[in-house]
Amino acid sequence: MSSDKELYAWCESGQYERAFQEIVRLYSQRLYWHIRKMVLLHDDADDILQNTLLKAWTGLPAFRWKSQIFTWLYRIATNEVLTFLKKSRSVKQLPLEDRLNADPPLFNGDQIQKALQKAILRLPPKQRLVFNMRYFDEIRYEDMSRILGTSVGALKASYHHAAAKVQESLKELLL
Amino acid sequence: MSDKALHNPHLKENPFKVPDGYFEQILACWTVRENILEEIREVPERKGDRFIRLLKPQLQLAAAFLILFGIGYALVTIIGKNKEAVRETEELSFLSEWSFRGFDHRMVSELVLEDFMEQQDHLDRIDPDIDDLVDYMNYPGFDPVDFHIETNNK
Repeated sequence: MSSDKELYAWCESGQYERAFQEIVRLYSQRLYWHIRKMVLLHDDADDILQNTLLKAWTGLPAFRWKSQIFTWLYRIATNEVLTFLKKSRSVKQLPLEDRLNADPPLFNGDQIQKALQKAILRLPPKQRLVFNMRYFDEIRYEDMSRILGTSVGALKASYHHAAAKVQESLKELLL
Repeated sequence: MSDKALHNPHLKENPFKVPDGYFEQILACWTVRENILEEIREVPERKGDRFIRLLKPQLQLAAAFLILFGIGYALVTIIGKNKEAVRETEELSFLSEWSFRGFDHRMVSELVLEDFMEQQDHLDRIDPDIDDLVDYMNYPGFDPVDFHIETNNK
């Protein structure tokens, strides 16, 4: 498995294609699931993943390697997701909750998992991001801080606040 | 539902699926087309786009000035009209006040008109030049008695 050092060495020697192909191999699945948990639908997640990879490819020569490559990729994906959610709100698309019900073949969760997704959907987008990254991906607060550009303390507070809200919503939804 | 529902490991399982072969397709899409990757990076900027991008800040500044000027002009116009309206209202209220005190509005109008005519007369009056008067009186055939009678008749 390639490390950041190997990727850096390839980029330094001008082998951007090789480095990028390795990045796609290593991180595309993690990025996809990070995006999918935010937007829920596969088609939307696919579009956002393609945009993320495109931006990563065009921005790779300018990447300074001061942070880990996955932190940088997550930041691009997160920004793309937030932009998408903002646009979705502005064009008054169907609520995501309804769209989740309209996409059953690609969602095979049971009742409690569906309730959890509905509960998470009730959170504001940024809080949802923090909750997903911590609860599902178990990303460390320090790494999340680098990805989201927010202090560790604020992220901890945000996560605990979000978890309490999800807990409340789950109680209500599973009554 | 207990408060510890989120600690249930089952909830952390991924409930979503992807179409069969999706990730392989992504990998193939971004790894086979090396030439396309180069093309993506080297998309040249069109001349028109560059021109607009460079001029955009200046255009925004000019638009802001125009808007400010428009607002200022509109304010000055509105305030000027208001002052005129106040003056007209004052004149009307003066007439109505006189009418209220028992004066006929026609009489008031005549008084105002008379005052106006007096002002005009005053403006039209010309002080005769003393040299012209002396010349006139020295004119051959000038009779001071006739002049006196004519002046009195007028």
